[in-house]
Amino acid sequence: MFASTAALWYARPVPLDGGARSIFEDFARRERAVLLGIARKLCLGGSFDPEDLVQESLERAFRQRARLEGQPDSARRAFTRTAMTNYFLDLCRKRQTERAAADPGPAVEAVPAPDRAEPELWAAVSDEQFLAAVKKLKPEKLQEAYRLHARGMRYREIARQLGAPEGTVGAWLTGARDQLRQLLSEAPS
Amino acid sequence: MSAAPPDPHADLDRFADGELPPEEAERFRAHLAGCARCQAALPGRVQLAGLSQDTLAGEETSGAGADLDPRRPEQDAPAAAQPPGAVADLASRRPEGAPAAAPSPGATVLRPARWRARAAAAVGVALAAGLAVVIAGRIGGEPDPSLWLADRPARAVEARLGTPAADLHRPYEVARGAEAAPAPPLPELAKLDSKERWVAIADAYLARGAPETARPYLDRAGGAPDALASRAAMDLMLGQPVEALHHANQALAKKPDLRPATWNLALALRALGLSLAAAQQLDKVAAAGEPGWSAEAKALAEQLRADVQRRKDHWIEVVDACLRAASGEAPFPADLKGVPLPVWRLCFDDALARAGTAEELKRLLPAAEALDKRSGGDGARRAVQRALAQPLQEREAVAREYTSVMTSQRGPGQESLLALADRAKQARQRDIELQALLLAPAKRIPPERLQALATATADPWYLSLAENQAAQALMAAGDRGSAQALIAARVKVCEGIDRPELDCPAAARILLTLYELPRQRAEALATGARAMEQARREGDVDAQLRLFSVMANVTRESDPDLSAAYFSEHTRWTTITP
Repeated sequence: MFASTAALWYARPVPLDGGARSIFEDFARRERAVLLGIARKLCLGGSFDPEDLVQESLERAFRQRARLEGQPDSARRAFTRTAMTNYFLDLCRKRQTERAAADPGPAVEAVPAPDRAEPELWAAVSDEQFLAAVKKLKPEKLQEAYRLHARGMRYREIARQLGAPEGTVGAWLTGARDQLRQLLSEAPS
Repeated sequence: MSAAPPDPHADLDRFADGELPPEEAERFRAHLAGCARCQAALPGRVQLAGLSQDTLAGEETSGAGADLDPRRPEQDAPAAAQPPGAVADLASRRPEGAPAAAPSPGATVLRPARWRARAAAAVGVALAAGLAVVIAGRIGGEPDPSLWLADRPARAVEARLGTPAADLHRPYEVARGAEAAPAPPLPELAKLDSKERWVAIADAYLARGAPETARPYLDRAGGAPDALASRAAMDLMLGQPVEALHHANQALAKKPDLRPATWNLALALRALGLSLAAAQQLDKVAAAGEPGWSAEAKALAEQLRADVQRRKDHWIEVVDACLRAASGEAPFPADLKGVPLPVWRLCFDDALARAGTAEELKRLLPAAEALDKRSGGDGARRAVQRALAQPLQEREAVAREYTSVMTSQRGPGQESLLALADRAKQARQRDIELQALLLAPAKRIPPERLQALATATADPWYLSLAENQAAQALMAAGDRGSAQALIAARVKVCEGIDRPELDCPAAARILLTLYELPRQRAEALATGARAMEQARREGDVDAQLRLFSVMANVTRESDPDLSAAYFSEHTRWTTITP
């Protein structure tokens, strides 16, 4: 029945401005799920609202829509994810500054944002390149751990599945990321 | 796990993976704020997590426990797998309850409490409220709170004012708040005048519901955050929510935790029909813990979210019933109260084109009568009669083809709709031919063919649909001037009195897309506001959603702030928070 819904409504005589708008909306809908997954982890156990993080980054991307139009999907998502990270770091710094003001003492002093490195690298990484890089991860257990983690498994579950201590899983994942960064920066764009 | 690890940088991965216990995660965030190295590493870490999610999350899992992780990233179905269109978005996500913008459980305060909130916790809310006045009075030599009617048990103005002493919370009650308020005492005003405290003077007038008197003082006050917050209050009182949005945003850009500005921003968003965006701003006020304001903000946010949820639920019911009726699974309800008429007419037309025999056509007569009763015409009944008067030998095959085109998984293809129209023409099923042409892309249809079919029905509904198609064809051909002239006349008719027999929502949207030039901003905003109001009144959630989206697009050049607000509302309504 809902196929018919779709047909009926999608085909309703409504202007669609050549699809540009709906392309961004489709992107935002897809991207939101990924961002929220990451944001929940960044905000875990704290007082920042992951929804706020996601919303803000999508709005930032929306404001830059003209600039991102015509660029590959990889550029758009890289931009949005960087925007979310930057906003998150801004929140952390801001709160640290407020804490320091409220309670002068041995609190950590907020440092200004560092130069944002390598944005071009991420904007150019396609799904295929990324998958090819994952395939090259060595040793095999490390690659296996990385794949399991990407599917949403916690360290503990991966450790159980691969018969390794949790600490080793953490080290594998860190190693996998180092390798991936290396492989992707070498990959021809 | 209680001892801190020797190398704090080493925790970055476990933190970003959500593997640190809450208190360690909080500690790491504090570390992160001061660590340039970790800050530089985090963006790459997030990008990798995103790419993994994009490419690997869908792989089959051999292990058993993967689905048990409560903190697992959202596994929303990819957009491509869902039926397109806003209705489908809502319909397919039906009972998941939670309002779209509700913060996830456990997330509470975004910003740390201010001193006043702490005082409130320590000495009690009421005492703290009094304390604030005393302190303010002592430090600033403030006039008596009565200057801003702050001594009264209720306030007459819903908006908040920039002057702290005027911004004491009292419940909002129009009648009691403004009751016989005396004019502001002149000596007090003179004192403020000599100190050039223009915002405080303006607020004395705003508190009395006199925005025009306040205006010259705010003009002199310039662009300080408190002045901008009060200016937003003035805009709201004058019924200018777009201006209020700008002024509140400007205030917040200068002073992000200025609660009166956040509050007024929320009211502006609400006035624009952006309920969920408004609720999010109210959350921020609620979280700040200001006596009175916090509770009012919380209640208001809840009310806004509940209203959206109610509208969505009702809409899903309507669409569900409508589609079941269209596909013949259930009869059309006899009572169409509370149902947007264009929606029912579309479903009715769909059912009509699917009806392959005289029997099936006749079965639609009660539904046609119900529709006509609501719209005050006889178009639906006559549509059935016209269909019945056609030679019906070949109708069944054409109707079956129509059903198959419309129920195709990917939506009806352009080519199949055009082929269907030709086939229906051959079989002399003009109603199906008309229906196929109305659904086909405007630019592919000879306008005179559609016009002739619509004119022959003499039904305002089909004429309005054909006109919408004609306007879009003109747009596609680059003749925006003619398109605008055509559709503006139609929208004017729609805005005059209720015309339930016309597809007014679609006409308004077409007109809005034609107002894309910055100089047409005023027209776009006015048309958008009226269409939004109409959609709300009708309970047409689909029209509302499409308006959010169209307005985001139309105001993109002329008004990026507003555009972002519309866009954000659209995503909030269409995405679901599990």
